[in-house]
Amino acid sequence: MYIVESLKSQDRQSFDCGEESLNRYLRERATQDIKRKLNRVFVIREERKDQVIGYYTLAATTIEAAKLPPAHAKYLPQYPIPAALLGKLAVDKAWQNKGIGKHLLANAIRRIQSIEKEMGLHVLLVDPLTDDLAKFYVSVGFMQFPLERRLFLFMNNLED
Amino acid sequence: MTALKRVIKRDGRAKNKRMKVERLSMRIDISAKTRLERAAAYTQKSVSEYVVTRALEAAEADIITHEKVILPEMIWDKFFNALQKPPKQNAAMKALLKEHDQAVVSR
Repeated sequence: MYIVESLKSQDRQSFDCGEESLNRYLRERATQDIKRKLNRVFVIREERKDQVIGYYTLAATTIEAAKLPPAHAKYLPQYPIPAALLGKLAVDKAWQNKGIGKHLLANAIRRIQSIEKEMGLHVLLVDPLTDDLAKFYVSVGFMQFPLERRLFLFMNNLED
Repeated sequence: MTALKRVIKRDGRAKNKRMKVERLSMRIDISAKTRLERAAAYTQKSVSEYVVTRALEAAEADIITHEKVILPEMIWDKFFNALQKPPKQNAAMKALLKEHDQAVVSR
């Protein structure tokens, strides 16, 4: 079993995902961002072990139209539309290609679903670093729009 | 606003070309510089490393606080339609969630 929980004092000093900016973020900045409420940071570890093998960040954002068609307004109880941004997601090199990244994405979705009912949060955004990652997100249902780098997942229809 | 849009676009493109390096030089008064040198020494960084990492931290925080996602008309229509009538659930997503629920304890 794996445990996913908020970043606290878990061992993250040796974390290496192969991308220095993501390593440094976890070591040096994540805690500050949590304090300043910019991001929430969640880490995955093995049960009964303290070493972080992957992490992701969630931040709140909003989506709006450059020009909102008046006819649309009545369909949008909350506007700008509240959304969650999966800002960073990284897995330690020793744990890559073992489904950990997928667990992290699924965990972010589960977490948002659990607060969705109160918050009316239906959209998850990602900003993938590479084309391969973008393809993966699209393969699990994220929508891609022309000339828009970010991908959108509509969460109000994920399960039966 | 158009200047800002240009910068945002450029930042997006730059993200995908991580190796490219550009120079940024600036004038600061001597007391500010010595202060930066002192702080950099404590953190075992060169002054430029120190300035860049600290400034980027602040930049990211400011971007998150100020950047809403604003969709141009053409994309908005597609987005709005999808929001009203979300695409049918995807088998890969269903499997992904199922695997997670079996292997992960979420706290």
